Amino acid sequence: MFKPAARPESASNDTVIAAGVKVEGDFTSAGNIIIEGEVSGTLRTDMDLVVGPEAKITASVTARNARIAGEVHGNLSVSERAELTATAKVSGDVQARVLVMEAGAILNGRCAMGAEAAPVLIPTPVLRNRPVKAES
Amino acid sequence: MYQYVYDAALTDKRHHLALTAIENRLTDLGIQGRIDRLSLFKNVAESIEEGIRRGVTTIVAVGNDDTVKKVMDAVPQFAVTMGVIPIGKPNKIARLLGVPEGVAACDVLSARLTQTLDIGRVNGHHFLAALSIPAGGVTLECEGKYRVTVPRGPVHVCNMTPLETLLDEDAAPIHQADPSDGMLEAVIPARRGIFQSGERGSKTVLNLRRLTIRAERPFTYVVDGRSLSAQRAEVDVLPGRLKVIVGRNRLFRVPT
Repeated sequence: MFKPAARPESASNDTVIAAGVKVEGDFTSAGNIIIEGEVSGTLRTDMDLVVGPEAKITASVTARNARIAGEVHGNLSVSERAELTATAKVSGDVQARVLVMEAGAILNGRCAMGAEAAPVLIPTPVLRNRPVKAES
Repeated sequence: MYQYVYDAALTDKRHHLALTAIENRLTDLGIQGRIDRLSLFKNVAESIEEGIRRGVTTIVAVGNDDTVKKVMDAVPQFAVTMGVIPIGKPNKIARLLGVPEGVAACDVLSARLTQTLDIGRVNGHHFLAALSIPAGGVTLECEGKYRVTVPRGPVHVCNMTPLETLLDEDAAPIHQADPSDGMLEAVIPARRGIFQSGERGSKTVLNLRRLTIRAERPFTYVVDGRSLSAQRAEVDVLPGRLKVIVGRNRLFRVPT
């Protein structure tokens, strides 16, 4: 999904919010999301998120990978790779395993990186081989 | 066993020859069956239910798009296969399914190539291709979680693709959705101002199972070519609810 300098193409399962369209509320998708319009509330996807240069997001954002070129007001929680391009303006805390910032990107907020930085999408560990308590 | 639901208009003399040829061909192919003629006061669902009690497993709509829609409104509640023999215009749904007009449709029925498809529902009416709101100016409340405000301009909720543009070679295709993924796709085409030039922007595409369309005033919506009006429209998808006989020349593709 992330090809440098390439315009994101919409595949069949991608959700696209085009310029001029405004979304309010708890916006969740199982597939990739491409935002070129406005979103306010919460924004969550299990896949990748692309925020276009004209997009304006006022929401807490959760994604696997994120490429931000527009404006984001809210916390950003990315389990893998977050990219802020030169036109990105992020006001909020950023959590990501890998953070890439181009020269010119604006980030106002705290920043946490590394494997332990994105606890939101890490599944809860399941104890499969739980020791059986011996009956007396 | 087959049940053929005849449109009320087929009693007209001009259809007599075509109907006789079709009935003869069905007999030759060994797929003749119970015949039901639609009339003003006849309930299609009750008629189909009666047929099922007598052992019918395939319901065939014989007529134009209106006949197919009447049958399609009733069929998803029963575990039967639907077929189409198009007679008269418009017959866009038959063309979408790849079923030729008249006698040739009998051979498609006999070949019995079936596909299980999702079907959309808006205010109790079923649709196979798409629901369109030509004027826009509505609010979409999606999945009961988020709201999308749509500026003026058309909105489409696609199970496949809007019939209006599907068969028009000059019209640009609006969208092609997968009719077997258990989802509908709300599409808001990209708009460009009169003084704007250059590349046309991308369209908005939302994958969803359920939405409510609201407006301050009653709006007109088109369901597979049929115009209706409401101030609020409840839309959802019935996944895999329609088993239909299709031809080789059908105008949609289901991923395998």
